[in-house]
Amino acid sequence: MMELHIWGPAFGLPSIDPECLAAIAYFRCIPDLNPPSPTSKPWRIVPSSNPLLSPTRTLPALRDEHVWIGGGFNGVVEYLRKKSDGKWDLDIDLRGENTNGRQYDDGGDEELPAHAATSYTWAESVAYSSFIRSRLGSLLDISLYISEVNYANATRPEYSKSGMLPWPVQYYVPGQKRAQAWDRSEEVLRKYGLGPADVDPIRVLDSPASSGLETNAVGAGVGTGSEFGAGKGPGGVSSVFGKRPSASIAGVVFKLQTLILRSLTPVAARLVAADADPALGFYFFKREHPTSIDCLILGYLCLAIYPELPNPFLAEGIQELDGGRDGKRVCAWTHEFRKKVFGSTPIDGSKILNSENECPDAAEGILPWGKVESADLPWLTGQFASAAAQYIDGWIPSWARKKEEKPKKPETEEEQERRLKLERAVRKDKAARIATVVVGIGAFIAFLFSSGIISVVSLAEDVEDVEEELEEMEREEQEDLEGSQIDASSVTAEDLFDFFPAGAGGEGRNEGKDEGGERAGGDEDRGPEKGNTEE
Amino acid sequence: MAPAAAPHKSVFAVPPLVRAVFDAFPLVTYPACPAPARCPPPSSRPRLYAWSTPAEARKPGGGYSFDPECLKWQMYLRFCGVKFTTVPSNSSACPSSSGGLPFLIPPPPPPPPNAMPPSPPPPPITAPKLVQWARSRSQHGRGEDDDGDIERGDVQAFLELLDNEIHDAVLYTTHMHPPNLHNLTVPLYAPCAASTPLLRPLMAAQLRAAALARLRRPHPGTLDRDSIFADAAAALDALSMLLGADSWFFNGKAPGLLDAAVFAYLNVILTAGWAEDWPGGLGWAVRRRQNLVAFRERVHEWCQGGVVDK
Repeated sequence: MMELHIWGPAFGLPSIDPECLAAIAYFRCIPDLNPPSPTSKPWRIVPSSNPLLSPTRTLPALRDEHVWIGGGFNGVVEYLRKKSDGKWDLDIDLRGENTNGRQYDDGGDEELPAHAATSYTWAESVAYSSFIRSRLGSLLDISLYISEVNYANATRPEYSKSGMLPWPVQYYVPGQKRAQAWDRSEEVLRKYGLGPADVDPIRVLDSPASSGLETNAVGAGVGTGSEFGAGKGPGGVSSVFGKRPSASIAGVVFKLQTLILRSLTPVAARLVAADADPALGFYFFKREHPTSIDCLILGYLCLAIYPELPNPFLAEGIQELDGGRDGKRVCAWTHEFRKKVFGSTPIDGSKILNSENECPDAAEGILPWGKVESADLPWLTGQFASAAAQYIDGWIPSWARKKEEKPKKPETEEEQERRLKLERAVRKDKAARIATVVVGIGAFIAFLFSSGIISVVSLAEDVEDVEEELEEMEREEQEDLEGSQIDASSVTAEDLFDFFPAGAGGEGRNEGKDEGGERAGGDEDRGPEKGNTEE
Repeated sequence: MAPAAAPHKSVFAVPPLVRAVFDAFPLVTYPACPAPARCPPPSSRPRLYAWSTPAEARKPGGGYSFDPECLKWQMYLRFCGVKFTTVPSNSSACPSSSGGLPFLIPPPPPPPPNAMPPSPPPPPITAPKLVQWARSRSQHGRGEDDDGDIERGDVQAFLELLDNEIHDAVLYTTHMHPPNLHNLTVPLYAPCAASTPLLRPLMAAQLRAAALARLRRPHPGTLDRDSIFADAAAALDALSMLLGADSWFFNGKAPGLLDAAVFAYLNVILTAGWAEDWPGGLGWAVRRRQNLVAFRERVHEWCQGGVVDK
């Protein structure tokens, strides 16, 4: 049972990532792997959204029994080709017999070999794959991630609403993907003289006062134009409040359209037949069955056309290709191929991710969904450990590392010396990196202790402290007692009679003295003494 | 929204009396000083600032740059028949609007005949605009069929292939492999480090970090060396199949941008002297395709015996 791990479903599509969509389409195009229902398919789609499962830390990844295959779309395709000895290779007749190109080693004949035409198509397939990944990939990055409006209102909610990312990953992974998208498209934007903030203000064309806002596609999803209308937009391009679009905004619109045109015209030209001749095939190379390039194109175009975005410049740009003619045909091609491969009903992400049964099936059983493993403590520990390991950059755990092949031919002295020197250099490099991390952690702990955030108190000191405290208490008590004794020494002899009265007479004599008369100084002495003894 | 008061009554306007005094200045204008002796003399040839060594740049015609991007533009200018001088430079010299080397400073236009002040010097031309400029200055008559050359979808697709897959593999070999980084890349891209040994680890770390950031973009997970080089080998196979037995790509009558780009990468791969200590490096992938090696030889001979002159 093969498991295809992908990023989760979004926008009604099986995945939010174009390479994952292409991988699903590739699996769906192989006839052997898609027997007519009700036979269950020998593969499953698991929307785990966990790139750490793959040896190369990217999705899509394939798991065949206990073997993990990384390398993204190319890796998965290569593995299927090897596993089936070429039976599951959609490009098999594109390559022709030219699997290792021996016939070109002799230099060219004037007359090209008969199957050179098919080999040329394989070369085109390689070139266009690279073209689509970089150009259409940049456009998707700009549309889904760089555009503030789209990211905040459409893309980011897709990550959270269906629950494709468990805790705590849901808080930082979308931001990570956005940062990667910024890195990738920075060059493209700079080449066209656009900044990241220029992507959005193209929708601010009418003020709230004019009637244009109701027909403006922005209105429904984003709220009133006053969010953008008050003062300057996010990048300093001032809004046009009740005025016609200024030159700068029109310039931005033009540049984005040029970008879309240059990226999509070559692809559109291949997808649509000039005469709409039904004899020609439907697919990119005009054959009867799809190839890997068709899957890639479908993956990228689906994410360009189908998501409903507040700033739909990409979808509109595609529809306007060649004055709308090519655009309509491209959209029709995408629609038909998508129906064939993913089914016509939009996919409900939350239903698939939260379903209890082993094989939650949506969309009339077209796509074989599998169950995602639950995010429990071992998984969480694994996440942290992998993140820590990645800081020692390039470190791959041994279970994921591919076996290095030893060179087969006997090495000369020189080559062996070079290889040993190289290994030593690599080991030194790695040791330096690990030492940096260890020293850093040690310095941090030392700082914690030195600044007093953590203080170490040993047991022996505890006991000493307690003894000291006891001694102090005793000393204080003694002082108190001495204090009271010192007070007692000022008592006169007469006062002693108060303490020790000699029978009743003493009492009578005391009372007589009190009632009788006053004695100089005695009463006063006694008064306070009496007060003291009463206390 | 403007205030009702007219702008010329604003507080900051200069009173006319004071303005008359200031109009008399500058009182004396001295003649311009001559330029410093080290300034390059104004030449009638356009100057291409590219990554190159001084020894290589002194060769007749400008030699070959060691950077594939710069070498591509050098070759394209030669294919268009434009005579230019190569100035060894580095990324600090780049004009602010561009991303980096190479850039071209066109020759100043001839002074206007009727003693008007000379027009300001033309701005430097960066790589995206170089194609148009070269076409406009081309010595050979470019026919109608060549005008759409660069914009063809196929040409664009194969140029992307070079810029993505093969460029990544070249970057990995030169920057991520420590022997190449320290022995070849740092002395070439940071010659200042040769004079000051303290700078060498700093420059090496900087170059490597920049290369790693650039490589991480198309490979967001771990950098898998085998897959990078497998993709590059497939790309080279595709180019070899495209070329077949023709002299120029797409069976053109004259070389174009794709030929220049392919030659640039092939020349760097075959002549840079990299240490590739793993199975399946770029040198191996190129050498097993004889037509690519022959293509590189052919263009090299064309350069030696062709339009090259001092």
